[in-house]
Amino acid sequence: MEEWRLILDLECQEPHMAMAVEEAISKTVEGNLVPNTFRIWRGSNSVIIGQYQCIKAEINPASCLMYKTKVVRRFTGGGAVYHDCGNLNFSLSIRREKIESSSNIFKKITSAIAKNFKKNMGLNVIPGDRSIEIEHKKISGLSGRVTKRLVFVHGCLLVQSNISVLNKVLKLTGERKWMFVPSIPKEVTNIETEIGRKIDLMEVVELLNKAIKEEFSVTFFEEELTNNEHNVAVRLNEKKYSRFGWLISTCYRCPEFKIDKDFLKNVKKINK
Amino acid sequence: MREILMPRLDPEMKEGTILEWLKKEGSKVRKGEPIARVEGEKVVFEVEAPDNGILAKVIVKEGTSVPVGQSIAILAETEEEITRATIIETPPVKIETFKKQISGEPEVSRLNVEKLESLVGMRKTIAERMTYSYRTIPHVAITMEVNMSETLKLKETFEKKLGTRIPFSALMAKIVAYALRKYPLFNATLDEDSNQIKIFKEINIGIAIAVEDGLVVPVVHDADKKSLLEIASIIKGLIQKASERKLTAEELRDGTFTITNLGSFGVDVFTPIINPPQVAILGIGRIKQEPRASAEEIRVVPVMTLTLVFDHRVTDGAKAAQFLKEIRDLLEKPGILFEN
Repeated sequence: MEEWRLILDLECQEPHMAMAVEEAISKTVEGNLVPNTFRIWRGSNSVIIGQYQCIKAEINPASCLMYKTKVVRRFTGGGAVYHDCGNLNFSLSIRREKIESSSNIFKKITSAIAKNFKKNMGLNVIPGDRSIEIEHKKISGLSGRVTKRLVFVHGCLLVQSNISVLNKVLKLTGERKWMFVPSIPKEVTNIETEIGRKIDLMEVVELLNKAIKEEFSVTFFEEELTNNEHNVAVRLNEKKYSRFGWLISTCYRCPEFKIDKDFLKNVKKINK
Repeated sequence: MREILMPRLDPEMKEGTILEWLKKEGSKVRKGEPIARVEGEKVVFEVEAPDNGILAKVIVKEGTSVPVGQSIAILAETEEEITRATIIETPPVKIETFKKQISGEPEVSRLNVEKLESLVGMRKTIAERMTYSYRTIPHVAITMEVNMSETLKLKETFEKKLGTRIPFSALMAKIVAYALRKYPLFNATLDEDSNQIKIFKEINIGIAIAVEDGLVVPVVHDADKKSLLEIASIIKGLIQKASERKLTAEELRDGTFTITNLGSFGVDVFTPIINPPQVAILGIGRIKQEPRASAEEIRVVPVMTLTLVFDHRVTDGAKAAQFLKEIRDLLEKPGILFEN
């Protein structure tokens, strides 16, 4: 059976750095420097927007300031999500040589997680192509990046997040601004709310591990980031993720960009 | 010079949105180097340069969705190629473009659309196939005028002797099948993966038939091995079935060459689109009485224009002209083929 690396990053960490680590791992797996990797991590209050999204269409800056929620632009597609320490995030970096369909990987992940949660928690969990729902309410969304040598998929799982803050910081209108990718508004819920009892996060971590191991027929060996990965992540954070330039990198092409300077000033304040 | 097409980055992918061009027009690119990012279903994919060269022209702008197989850019081998070529930009047009007119997107022209029709069913299939053909095959068209006097006389003679109507398409199918035996390069397909021209063993002539909501192309299999009467009988049956929507998959399959006739609609000349995976198609215009001069006199004769459209990757104008001339000569002197 193939062995994959498992990274458990369960301290609630600064969201820009956490995203930099995601990209660092994707690069080292792609470069065949490390085995395929499954990572589970947590980040503090943040809105994570897709690489080609319009910030203005996705966030309420005043609420972000009020609830100390940072804004991070990730390197994968898809829509905006909310993270806090009640959220568990996971990512899978797989080298592409044996994969025929990246769509298949998404479906495998959502199906595996839904199956395990259904079996072990008795929840009516329904897997979608890029999301997981309980009773038509979303508990998880996935997005990814595919290159010639890599399929990278990551997602977040609402375990015990603050849904009230989520609904305030995210605009959730589905508004499409110019060429940018819009988020699709959907009612969300926590696993804890649906199960009706307090959940230990480690319970969910174990279920996630089991789901991925069974679905992909692999075993895990637990390891931390390599020194190289750590250095790459630090550089990515400094040069990219924590920089205002990266956050508004796609905004330059928007016809409204030059007009809305006040909005941009507010966004700058959020991440300070 | 070659087209870069929107690749199928995932088996289920039908279209992709260009998110970002990673290279500018005029940039040198290496084979395998990412040149664009494409979004499909929350996933960002990278499109790679298919070869070394220069990104001569970006055809599809950022933010635009195009179907898989459609051109998105042009790759030139050298800078000289770029200065020699005139690249004609054909922006992708979709029904959705009209629906987006109210979104305020800067690239969309403001048209007043009275009615929206969805591309569904046969129309959608035709749209997809024709777009793919037009975008991937370098079409070249040549025309020839044909004096139809002898063919029309022969048709009349046959119909009197056999006591049955001979569809004009049957005569054309018989003649074209004969010509294809002499010019097999037009009865072929281009295998792009192996860069091989594969000549079909059978000559199966597709006959384009207009139906209520589109076009069907049923096939006369082994047309070169069948008599004119057999071909006429088959075609009459296919036309009847087409009008009743009763054509079977077998009757629509394995065409190796297509003939299409708009003469009955009053069209003189037109340039049809090649029916992939074939390499050529023959367009037939109307027969009209026109004065024509010979050495001794001016006479009014029935003339018809043939248009041969062929894939320029497979052959050149000279060969195409010879093939078309063969068809013309057989039409002007059909006794060669039908003397028995």
